[in-house]
Amino acid sequence: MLSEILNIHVAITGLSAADNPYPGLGIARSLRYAQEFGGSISGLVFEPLSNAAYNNAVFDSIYLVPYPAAGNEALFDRISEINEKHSVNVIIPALDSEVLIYTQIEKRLYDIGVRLLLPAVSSVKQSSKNLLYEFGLKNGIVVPKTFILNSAEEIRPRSSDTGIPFLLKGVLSDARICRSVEQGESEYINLFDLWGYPILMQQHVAGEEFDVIALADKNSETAGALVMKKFGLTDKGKAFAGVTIEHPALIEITRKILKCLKWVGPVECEFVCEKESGTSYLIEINSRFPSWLYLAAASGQNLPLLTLKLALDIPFEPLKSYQTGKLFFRTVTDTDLSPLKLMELAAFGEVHF
Amino acid sequence: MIIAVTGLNTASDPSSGYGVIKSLKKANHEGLKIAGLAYEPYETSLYDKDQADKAFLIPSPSENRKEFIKRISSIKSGYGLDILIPNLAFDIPAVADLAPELKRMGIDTLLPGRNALYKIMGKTPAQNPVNPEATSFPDNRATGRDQALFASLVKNPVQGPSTISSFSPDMFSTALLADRKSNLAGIVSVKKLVVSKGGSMWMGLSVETGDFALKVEKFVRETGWVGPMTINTVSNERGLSYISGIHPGFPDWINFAAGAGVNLPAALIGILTGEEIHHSSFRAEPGRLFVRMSVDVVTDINRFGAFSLTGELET
Repeated sequence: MLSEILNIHVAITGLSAADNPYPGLGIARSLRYAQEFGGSISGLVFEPLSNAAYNNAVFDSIYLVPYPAAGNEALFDRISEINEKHSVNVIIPALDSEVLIYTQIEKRLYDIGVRLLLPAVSSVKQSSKNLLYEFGLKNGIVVPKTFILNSAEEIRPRSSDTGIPFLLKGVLSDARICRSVEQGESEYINLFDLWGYPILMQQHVAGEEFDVIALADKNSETAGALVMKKFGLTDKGKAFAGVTIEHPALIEITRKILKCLKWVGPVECEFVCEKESGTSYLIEINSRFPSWLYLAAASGQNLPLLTLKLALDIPFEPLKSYQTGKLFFRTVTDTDLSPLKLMELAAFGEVHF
Repeated sequence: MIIAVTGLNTASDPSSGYGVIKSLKKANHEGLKIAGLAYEPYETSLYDKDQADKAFLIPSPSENRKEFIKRISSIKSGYGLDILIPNLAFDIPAVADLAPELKRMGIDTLLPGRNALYKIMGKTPAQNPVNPEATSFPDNRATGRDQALFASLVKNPVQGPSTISSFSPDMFSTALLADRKSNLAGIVSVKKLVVSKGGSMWMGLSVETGDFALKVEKFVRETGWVGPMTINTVSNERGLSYISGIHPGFPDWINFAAGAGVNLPAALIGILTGEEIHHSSFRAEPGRLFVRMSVDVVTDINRFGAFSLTGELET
């Protein structure tokens, strides 16, 4: 069984890693960190200026793939084309926007020998920001009160339910803390301009922020999970430092969430533990690995490696413990190379290191 | 020789101290040790074992000069310190002011005087002394290969439609180093291909500085500049270039310059010591591609705790 992991070809997406990095490079680094993995890794990118794909210490090849907007068919055709040249065993999509697309072509990819480990479309939809509050109510999971706004006029009446301050969120990304109704009305316009409908209005919970990275097997059982406490935030509110901690209660809530959602594959659950009550609120679910996932591998839970085993139906042992007190810091690495590699990728749609 | 470097935060938009250390290490000078000086324990590149040999927490020279000198003096006597390279907008002027005092302590710097700093720091692009309307740099017509590269980037061959519709405005950045007599010791320019909102460069291409080097040389002489400087320019659709910023200090991408043949931090050491510690040509090789990416390093919370408490970190 070991040889199957040693010799496989894995393709990974999400390879823009600048000031707000996607998880792709962390996934590839985690696999290279694992002694059991000796296979090859390809990066799948939408455009040639995807910086992390040029890390030739972890990637063997880069392939251009169509943007999600090109649709399922175009993506399937391109993956088939790549697969014919260089058999792909597993793809690990690393962007929220791709998960639904890959889920929809999962069966067809399976038929050509390409495996995925992803949740069903219904699971992803239930976990979306605009349905999370209802999901929490139905399943006994504490989620801050959340309302879908159709216009800025709804902010004032809704503020009696959420309290002040409250959060306004774009449905895909972005969140603003609003300390008055007037500020909310102004931020509504900003968010609408950036993200369009719908805008979400959410109760603001003050407390410490925790993230749980987890992996669910094909029966939605937790195959691995680790809790990270955010230790430092960039001016964009993203964690640039975080420490692994023991928090059985958050692991248990995550386990319940995965069961209730019938989840399969990687996930990140974000929580805020309220200062006064100690209640843990589920803030968000991301249907992919988080950008800080290398911390998990370095702390004893190599979840990308486990993803390969689960996707390929290789027997595995669930990961139940990890080292606490491990701290990640975000920094940079760089390389300089001939621009021919970039030209080759742009001209031929693939490059090999 | 022990060189101290500030500006070590690489969490989001990297400070240039990271690249200065990489450049100095590339010079491979025998007996060289790097002391990382941090204003707070969160300066993330400190925890990268390939960076500084030892790190120290220091107080801000702009807020408390006496404490700063006291701390630098204790580092000098405890660990040793021969040269100090500040890399942040706030500490460059403060350290420049303290340069005579540092010199008396046996610590050398290569920094401009207050007058030169005033000449560049309060300038808006409209007042810019390099006469932006007449600037012919940046020149990306330098080689046919570059031209082919830019043309090839506008389409994704597996999809058909253009994925990058325009490179306008083009962004360029020039790093230079002036000696104590305000003569240029080296100059290197890049075209920025991927830039964050904060302005840091994540992918870039080295380009010919062209005639712009002559204007820069004149500007450096007239301002009486000493030490490193960064000039950012943008060019519009008609090819006219405008200065978008002039900063004292090295740019965030300075280690790329070393890869393209111009190791300005090593040249700085050479100027201060009077010895050639690494070959650094005057102009860079055009057409090198620089790629930077964000990565996480993992350490132990106890190391962070010990650094916060003791102010010293063995890397």
